[in-house]
Amino acid sequence: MTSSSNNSFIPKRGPVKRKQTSTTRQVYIFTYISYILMFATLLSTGGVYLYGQYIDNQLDEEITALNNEISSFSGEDLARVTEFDLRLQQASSRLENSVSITSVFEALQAATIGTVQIMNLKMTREADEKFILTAQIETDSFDSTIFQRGEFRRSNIISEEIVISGVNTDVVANTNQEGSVLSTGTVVSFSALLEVPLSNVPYVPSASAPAVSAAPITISQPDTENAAEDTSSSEVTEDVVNNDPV
Amino acid sequence: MIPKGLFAQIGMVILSVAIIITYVEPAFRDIGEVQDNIAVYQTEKEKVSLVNDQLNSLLQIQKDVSLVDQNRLLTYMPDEDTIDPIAIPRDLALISVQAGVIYKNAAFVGSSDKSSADVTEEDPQAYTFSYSVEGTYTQVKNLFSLLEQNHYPLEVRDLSISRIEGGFLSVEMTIDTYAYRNSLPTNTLVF
Repeated sequence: MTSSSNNSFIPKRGPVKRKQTSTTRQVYIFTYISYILMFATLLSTGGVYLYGQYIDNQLDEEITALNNEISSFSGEDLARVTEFDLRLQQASSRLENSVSITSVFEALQAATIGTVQIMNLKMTREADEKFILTAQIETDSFDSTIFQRGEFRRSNIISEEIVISGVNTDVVANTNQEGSVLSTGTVVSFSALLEVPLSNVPYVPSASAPAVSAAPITISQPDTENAAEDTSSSEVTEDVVNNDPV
Repeated sequence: MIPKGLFAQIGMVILSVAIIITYVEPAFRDIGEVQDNIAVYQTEKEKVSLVNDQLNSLLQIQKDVSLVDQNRLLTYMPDEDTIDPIAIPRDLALISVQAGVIYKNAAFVGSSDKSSADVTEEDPQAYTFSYSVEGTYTQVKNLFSLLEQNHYPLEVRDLSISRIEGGFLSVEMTIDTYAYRNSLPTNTLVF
């Protein structure tokens, strides 16, 4: 006998076998990318905004610092220092080119032979390069003239470029007070053009040399007695003419 | 079948790209420019700072120069307006007296009128004086020795020596003295 349950028109159904459906969620790469991109964008937006603010502040600080530096600069100080420096340069340039005329005289003195007399001397300074000396010279013979030229050339101070010109001879008669001729002599006169480079005669201040004192107000001319003394001393000087070129 | 979130994801991507294009990238560019500006400002600040430091050190050097030396410099190279055409002949007369020569004459001739092309910054303004004396050779040498030692430059430019009566020498010369020439432009653009 079959059970009533078997007579049912409803088809029998076996024990339900539930299908084990896999519930693995599918996450697509695109989803990852989109999320990452979105978050990265949001983060970078915030970061860029904040960093931009920071950078702007830093720029403001730099501008302020630069303005402070500029405002601390003093144009007056610069002008004062520049003027001082320029004044020093100008003074230095004159000091470097300061020469000793006395050295020129001494060089001329040393290079002048005993039988020579310089009758007239002109000296011109050409810029800061050299002195040009033009001397009218008298001597007793041509030999002395040649010897004198050699002495000038041998001088360490006078440049070797020496021009001797206008060599003339004259007969000079020595007369007494009555006008009678005692003796006659030959005078050879010539003109010498000499050059002395300034570098050869620099002024060297000596510690022993007295500085020119502060000038008193009064000005006085030497009196006649002093002049007379000067004359006598000049006569003495003339006696030792070998040492004096003029 | 299209997943539900796909449109949202595409929207996010589009929005992200839009944000990047419209904000992030320009902001980066701006930041780069600002950083460049900062670098420029820093460089300029360093330059100005360097100039200030140099100026301060130079000021200190100038302050370290003693007042005596500063006065000597001012005496040696005075300002242009302090050159006195009477005081210098007076000094020449006094030097003549000290040297023992007979002072004949001294007068102001003029100032140098070099063309601007010839003048350098180191060239002071020259003032020329004529000066004539009489004396012996020794006295004349003494005179030149005193002129060399003067507190301000007295440069002999031209010199003529000739014999006169009594063994004396007549000396005529032109002498240059100098004053500070301010060749700095008045309105200097510093920076």
